[in-house]
Amino acid sequence: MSYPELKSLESDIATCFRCSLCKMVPLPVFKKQEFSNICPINSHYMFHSYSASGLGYMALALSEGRIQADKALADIVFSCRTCGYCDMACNFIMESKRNEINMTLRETLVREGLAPEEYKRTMQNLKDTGNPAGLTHTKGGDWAAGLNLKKLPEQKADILLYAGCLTRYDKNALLSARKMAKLLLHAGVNVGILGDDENCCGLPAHWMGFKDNFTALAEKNASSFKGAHVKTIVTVCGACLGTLKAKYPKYGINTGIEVLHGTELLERLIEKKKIKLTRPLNLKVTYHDPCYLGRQSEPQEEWKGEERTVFGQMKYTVPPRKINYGTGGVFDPPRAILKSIKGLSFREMYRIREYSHCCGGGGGRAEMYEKMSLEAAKDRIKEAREVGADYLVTSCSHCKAQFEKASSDMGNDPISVLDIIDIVFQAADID
Amino acid sequence: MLTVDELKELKDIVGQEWVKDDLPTRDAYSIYYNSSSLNKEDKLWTARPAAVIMPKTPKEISELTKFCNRKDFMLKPFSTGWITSSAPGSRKTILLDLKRMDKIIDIDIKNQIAVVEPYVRAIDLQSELWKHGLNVHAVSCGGNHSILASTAAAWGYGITGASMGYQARNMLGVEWVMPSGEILTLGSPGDGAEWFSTDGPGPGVRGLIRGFQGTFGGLGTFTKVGVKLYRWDSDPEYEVHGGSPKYVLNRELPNLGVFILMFPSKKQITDAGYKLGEAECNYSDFRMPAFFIALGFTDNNLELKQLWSTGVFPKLARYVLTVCVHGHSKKEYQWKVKALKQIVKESGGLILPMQQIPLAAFDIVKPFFKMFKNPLKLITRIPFIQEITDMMKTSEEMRLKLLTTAFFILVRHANNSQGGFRASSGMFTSVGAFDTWDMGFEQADYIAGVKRPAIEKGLILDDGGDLGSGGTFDFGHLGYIEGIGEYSTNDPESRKATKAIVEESLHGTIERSLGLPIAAFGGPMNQLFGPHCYNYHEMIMKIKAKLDPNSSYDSWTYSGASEKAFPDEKEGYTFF
Repeated sequence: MSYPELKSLESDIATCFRCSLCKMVPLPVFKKQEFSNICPINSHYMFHSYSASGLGYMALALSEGRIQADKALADIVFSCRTCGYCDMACNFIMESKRNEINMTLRETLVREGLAPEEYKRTMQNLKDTGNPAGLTHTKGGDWAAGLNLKKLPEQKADILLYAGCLTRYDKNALLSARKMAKLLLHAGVNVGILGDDENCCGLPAHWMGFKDNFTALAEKNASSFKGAHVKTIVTVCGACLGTLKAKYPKYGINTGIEVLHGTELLERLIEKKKIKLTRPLNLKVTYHDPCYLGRQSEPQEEWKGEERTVFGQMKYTVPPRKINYGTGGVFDPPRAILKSIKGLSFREMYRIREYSHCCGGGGGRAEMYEKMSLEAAKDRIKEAREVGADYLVTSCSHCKAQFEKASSDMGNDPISVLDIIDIVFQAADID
Repeated sequence: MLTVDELKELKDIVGQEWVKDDLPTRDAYSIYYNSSSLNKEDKLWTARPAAVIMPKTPKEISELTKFCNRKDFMLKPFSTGWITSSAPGSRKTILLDLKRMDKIIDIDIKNQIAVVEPYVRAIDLQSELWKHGLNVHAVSCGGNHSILASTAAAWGYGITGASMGYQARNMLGVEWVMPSGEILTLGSPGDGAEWFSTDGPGPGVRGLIRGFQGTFGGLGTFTKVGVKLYRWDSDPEYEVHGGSPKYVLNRELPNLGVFILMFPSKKQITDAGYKLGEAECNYSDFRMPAFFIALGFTDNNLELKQLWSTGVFPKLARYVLTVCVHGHSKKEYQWKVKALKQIVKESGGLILPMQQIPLAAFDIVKPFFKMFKNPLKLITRIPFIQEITDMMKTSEEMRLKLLTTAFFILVRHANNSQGGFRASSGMFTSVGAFDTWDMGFEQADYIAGVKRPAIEKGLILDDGGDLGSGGTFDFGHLGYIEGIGEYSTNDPESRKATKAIVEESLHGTIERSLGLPIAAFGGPMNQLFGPHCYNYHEMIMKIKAKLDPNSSYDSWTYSGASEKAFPDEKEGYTFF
C-alpha cells in the first residue's frame, strides 16, 4: 500500500532528532517541573509513540511499509488532541511540519476506514443536523430569541456574530453568546446572525481527520458568509475563530472577510469607551489560552518563492518562508480586558500564550479518551490553583465545558470556570 | 518475539498498561538522533525492540532483570532517550523507558547534594535548585537531558564545566539494579536518601560502573543518583518577554554577567582560558565557533547566508570564548569582572560590546576584512580599542537580546538545540577528547582539515571547517572541544560523507594521539582505542562477563554486541 501524502512528508519526518522538546514547554520559559509538560497524550500515556516525534516515526514506518494501517496504529493516532503545541515546540528549533504530519497521518487512517465508529457517527450528525452532537431539540437560531438581532442575509449588518454549534446548543454557553450579543447591541454595533442557517464551522471534521467533509463544510460556510455581505465575522467561541481564520485558508478556502474573536472586538469597544467596565469585580482570576484561539489561529500564509541551497547543504528560501511560531494568535485582547476591570486580580499561569496547555477537550470525541482528556483539564486547573486563582477564565466554549466537567470531578478542590464574556458583562453592569 | 506467557509475566510485574509490544509503538522506539549516520545500511531505523516497558520502581526493574536472566531477552534502559546510544542493539532487546521515574527525591542544601530519579531533566532540577541558592552541572546538549544519565551512565561534559567539573566527578552515590537483579546502593548521597555506603579509599566500585564514558545502559539500571551541587547566588528565577523563538530576559540577573571575548590567535585564546581558570572567574565558558555566532545573530537561513557571505565572521570570530562570570556577592562579582578584563587585555583580546549588531554593519566593514588576513590582530593593536568599544551603546533591548542568547547557552542550557539543526537539519560530532585546553584546539584544527574535501564537494555544510565547540573544565585544568559538523539528514550523499569523516577522524585521532574521542564506546570502538589506552577494552569485557554472565542487559554501547544478539546484529552498527 502506498501513501503519497505521507511519502511527501518523509524528509520532514527525518529531521526529527528525538529531543522530546515537543513534550515540554520551550526551555527558556521553563518555570516548574510540575507544570512543564504540555502534550496531553504524552503526559497521560507516557510512551514515545504518544508524541509528535513518535507519531512522525510511525507515519514514516507506515509510509515505508514497515507497519500496516491497523487498529493498533489508529488507537494511538486518534488519541491526539490536535492542540498543535508540537508544531510550535519544533519550530522553536527549526522549520518543521509536525502538525501537518500528525493531521496527514490521521487523514490517511480515515481514508483507510480506520476512524473510530464514534467519529463516523459524529460525521453523520454533522451531515444530518449541522452540528456534531446531532441535536435537534432546538433550531440553530433559537439561542438569540428575543434579542432582536438582524437576520442575515435578509437584513444588512456590518458584523456577523457567529455563535458556533457548541455555543448554540449548550444551555450555559448560549447564555454567554446572548450576553455577547447584548454587549454589542449596547455598544451600538450593527450586528446580525445567520440564525437557523448557521452551520458548524467544521472543526470537528478537521479534528477527526475527515478532510473532504471539512472542506465541503468550509466551502458551504464561506458561501454563506460571502452572501451575508458583512465586513467582519465575530466568533463567540475560540475554536471557531481558529477554524475560520487559519484552517479555512490552509485548505484553500478564503472568504476575504475579516475574522475576529469576540474578545478582540470587545477590547476595541472598551478602548473606545463604547463599553464601560464600571462595576468592580473582586475576583482572583487566571486566563487559559484556548489552542484554536491562540497558537492555532495564527494564519498560515501561503508561501510563494524559491528554495535554494548554499554552502553545500544549507537551504534557505527567497523570500523567507514565514515559520509559524504560534505567536500570532489572539493572546493580548483577553488579558487587556481582564486587566482593565477594577478590583480584579489577574495572575498568569506557567504555560501560556503559544505554549499554552491544552484543556484536553479538542481533537474530536474527547469522551472516548475521557481519562486522558480530563487529566489534561485537571492538570490545568491545578495550575490555576497553584498561581492563586479562584476563577479560571477562558474564551472557548469547548474549553469551558471541559474545565467544568473536570472541576466537578475534582472533589475538594474544584475551580469556578467563567467565559470572559460573562465577566465583561458583569463589569459592564448592563442588563 | 515474546510469547503470550512471557508478555503476561512482564505485565504482571509492571501493570498491563505499561508494556507495549504493538508494532507502531516499537517502531516509534526505533529511530534516534543520528541513527542514520551510525547505521551500516544508512537507514534511520535501528533494531526494532521486542517490547517497550515503563517501570516505576527499582523493584519492578529488578524483577524485569531477573526475567531476562532466565529468558533469551535483554534489557536496555534509557531516560530521555535522545541519542542513538539509547537504541536497542537487538530485536531481542526490551527497552526500559524510565519516563515514569521522574522524582527529585531530595535536595540536601547543607551538603549540596541532590538525589534524583532517571527522568529528572537538568532544567527540572536546576529550576528547583535556584530557589535554594544551588546549581547543577548540565551537559551541553541542553536542559532537557537526564541528570542521572549524564552523571551515572553517559558522557557528562557541559558548559558549566569550568567551575563544576564534569558529571563523572559529580556522582556521589547511586542506586543500581545490577545485571543479576540485585539492588545495590553505593556512595553517600546526603541526608535524605536513606543510604550510606562507604566506597573507598582505593579503587571504588563507583568508578568501575561509571568509567570514563559510562556504561550506556549496558550494565544494569541506575534508578537513583546523588549528584554534587554548586552555588548559585543570583535570582531564584527570571522573567522573559517576547515570544518563540526569541524570548528575551526582562532584565539582567544580579551577580551574573556574560562576556564575548575575541582573540586574534589560538595561542591567545588558550592562554586566556588558562588565566581565567587560574583566577577562577569563569563560572562557565564556551568556545563558540564563528559559524554558530553568525547563526545566533540571525533569525533565518537567508539572513545567515547574507551574513556569513560577508566573510567577516570567519576572520573576526575564529577564536571566540563566551564567558559567564558569577559572583557569590556583588563585590566578588565586581572583582571577577575586573580580573576578566585584565586577563583579556594581557592576552591581547577584545571584549565585544554586548549588543546586537545590525546586519548592514557587516556589509560596511566587509571590504576592510577582505584586505587583511587577520584583521582582529590589527584591531586589537589600536590604542584604547577596548575603551572605545566599551563606549559603543545601543538600546537596552538590543543589549538584552544578545545577553539573553548568551545566558541561555551558558547558564540555562535552553537554546542549545536551536544552533545545531536550523542550518542543515543534521549535526554530527567526531573527535573531541577530555584533555588539555590546548589539545581541544589541536583537535578542532584536525577535524577542520578532515572535513575540508567534503565541504569543497558540497557534501556537508561549509561552516568554515572549524566548528569546534567546547570549553575549559576544572578551572582550566582540563579542556574539551568537540569536532562538530553539519550535514543534511535527507541527502544520502551527505550522510555517507559524514560517516566517512567520522571514521577517518577516529583513526586520525589514534595516529595523531589526540585523545579518546566522544565516540569511543561500544565494542568496535573499544577494540580500536583500547590497545592505545591501557587495554581498557579488556577490562570492560571482564567486568561485563563477571557481572552479567547471562547477558541480561544489551551491551552494544558498552562492551559490544551481546551474546544473545542475532548474528546479523553483531555486525549491525558501523561505529559502535
